[in-house]
Amino acid sequence: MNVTILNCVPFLYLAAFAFSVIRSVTGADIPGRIRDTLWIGGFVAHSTGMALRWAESYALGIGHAPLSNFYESLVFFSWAVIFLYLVLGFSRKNEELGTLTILIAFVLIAYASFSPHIDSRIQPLIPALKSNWLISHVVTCFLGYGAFVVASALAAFVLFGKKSARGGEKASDERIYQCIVIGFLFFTIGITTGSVWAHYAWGRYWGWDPKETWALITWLIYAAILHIRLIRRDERRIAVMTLVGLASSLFTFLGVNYLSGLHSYF
Amino acid sequence: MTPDRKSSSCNPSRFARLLTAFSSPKTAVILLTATVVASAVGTIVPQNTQGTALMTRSIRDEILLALDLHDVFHSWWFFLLGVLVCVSLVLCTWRRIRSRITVPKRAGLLFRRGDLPRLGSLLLHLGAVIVIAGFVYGQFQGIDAYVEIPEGETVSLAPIIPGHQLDQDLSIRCEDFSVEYYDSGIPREFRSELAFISSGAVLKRETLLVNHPVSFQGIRYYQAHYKSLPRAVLSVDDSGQPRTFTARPGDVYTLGAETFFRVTRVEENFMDMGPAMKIDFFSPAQSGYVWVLSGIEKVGQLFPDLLAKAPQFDPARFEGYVFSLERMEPLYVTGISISHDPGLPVVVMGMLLFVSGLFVVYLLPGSQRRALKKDRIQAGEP
Repeated sequence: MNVTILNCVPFLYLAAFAFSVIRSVTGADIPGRIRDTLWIGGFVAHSTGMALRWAESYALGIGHAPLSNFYESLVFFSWAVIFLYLVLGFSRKNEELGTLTILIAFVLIAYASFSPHIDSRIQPLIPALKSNWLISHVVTCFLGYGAFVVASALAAFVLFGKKSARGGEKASDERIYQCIVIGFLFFTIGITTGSVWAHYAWGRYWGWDPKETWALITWLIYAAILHIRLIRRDERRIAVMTLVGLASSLFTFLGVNYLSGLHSYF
Repeated sequence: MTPDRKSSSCNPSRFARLLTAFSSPKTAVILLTATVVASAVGTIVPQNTQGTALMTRSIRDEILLALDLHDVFHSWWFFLLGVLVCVSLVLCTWRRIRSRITVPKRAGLLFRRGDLPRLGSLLLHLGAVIVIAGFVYGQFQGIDAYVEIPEGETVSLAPIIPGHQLDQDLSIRCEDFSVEYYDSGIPREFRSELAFISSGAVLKRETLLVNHPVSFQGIRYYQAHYKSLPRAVLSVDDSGQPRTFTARPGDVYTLGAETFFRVTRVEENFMDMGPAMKIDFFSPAQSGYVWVLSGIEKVGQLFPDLLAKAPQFDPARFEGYVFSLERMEPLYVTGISISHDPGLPVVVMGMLLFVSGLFVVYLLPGSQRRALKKDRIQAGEP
């Protein structure tokens, strides 16, 4: 049931993206309203799907939060991107940003739903994942990633967008900064909860495992961005660094699987 | 910033300039970038492969060995980088405190309400130094060991963690190890029943599970791995009551006067014919080896002249003794990580300082805006 609902979500986001493009091109009012309905509806379905999945895992007798495998992490990542976009309150200010955010959320959940290599079944937790730290670690890390994605969408507009689409340089510089600060806070807590968990599960809070090291690298890149901003508020430079940070975030999330390590369940 | 007049040994203004430069955001960015590059190298170059590199010694290996690239995170230069980061952080913190003290109009009051973001920034950088210091202390003073204990066996701890102040007679026995599975075959739980023993007395019994370490006398024990070794349950019929033995390769059992056998191999699936074991037999009259297959009757039906052609498969090869392999009973070996980290409380304290500093800087209402405003005023913007 949950998978059926979650499989519908990419179509809603794709339709919202399409109407968003129509709205941008024509400037008409109605496509804008259809877009809003579609993507808010998509987000509600997305949230419902995850909640149902959680409930259904309990019905199967292997109850756990839907954050335990690659499928579930992609679905939550997509959700976090939309959630942060909504929470940060950019939806009215910058329509182009909304278009790009929906596209990213669509790509993430569509990959989860339609890739033949990703198993969408609810699986029981292996012993290493049976911990109270699972939820806090995964949620904070992915909210961090989500904020970094929104920051990167803004940065993409700074670098490649039309000037009119950005709503003035000052404004987007400040918004990139806000997103990075939010992401940095979440990611810091994500690394902290992860190291507490590692302390209980593996006997050390830090062991230079590739995933740990790449999380540190990502964290250091964003720490560097926060310092760069103190030197000189060069919008383009910060935008470039934000995209470097995104690449590092994605490598932390996905690329590390190609290096051997302890985090192999994701 | 006022020059430090006390350090008269060198040019005060040059010292002050160096201090300012080394605690500046620019230095921070350079050091952060260097750490990023070094860490990335540490994940891309395969780590802990010095052994093979020392064997092959190609030019590439020589370069990697010279730069410690096989163990980046414990190399001298990575440590040096950490020291530089700490020095920069300390100088930055110190400069902030001192600039508070030396500004006369604020004398007597280190921080005012409006200074909260600055206080947060101070806490944050101080916290980072404490985390790094605690981590390094733990690396040098901590225990990080690993032990494998077969079920039913006892292992003494003193040789595993030498140099630690520990009950020298302390040992651990793995009384039982079990794996539970879900219906789908995925493991649900690994469980070791441990007994801590000293001077022959059991001091404490504990159940060890993944994610649930056990602490005893200040040292923590973690369920890290397990493996199962093939073990044979065999019986020997010497025209009397058959006797049963449980054997791993290397086990020797006596059957009578000057008559004994040694199990040399135990195979779970020998040449696709199922479980098998190889036994060396010794007696004054005869000696040699025999392969005992649990499915010997079936094999015999397939190849009726097997035993005539290959007597090494004849369970009755040695006169007066018939060997048979009853079943396989895997021997579980539990793998336990042993750790003790005296730097941990320091790291926790540093992390709490860091996170609270981060929250003060960025999340107190208005603090971020105020900090931005100050930045902008400093940058000469309206």
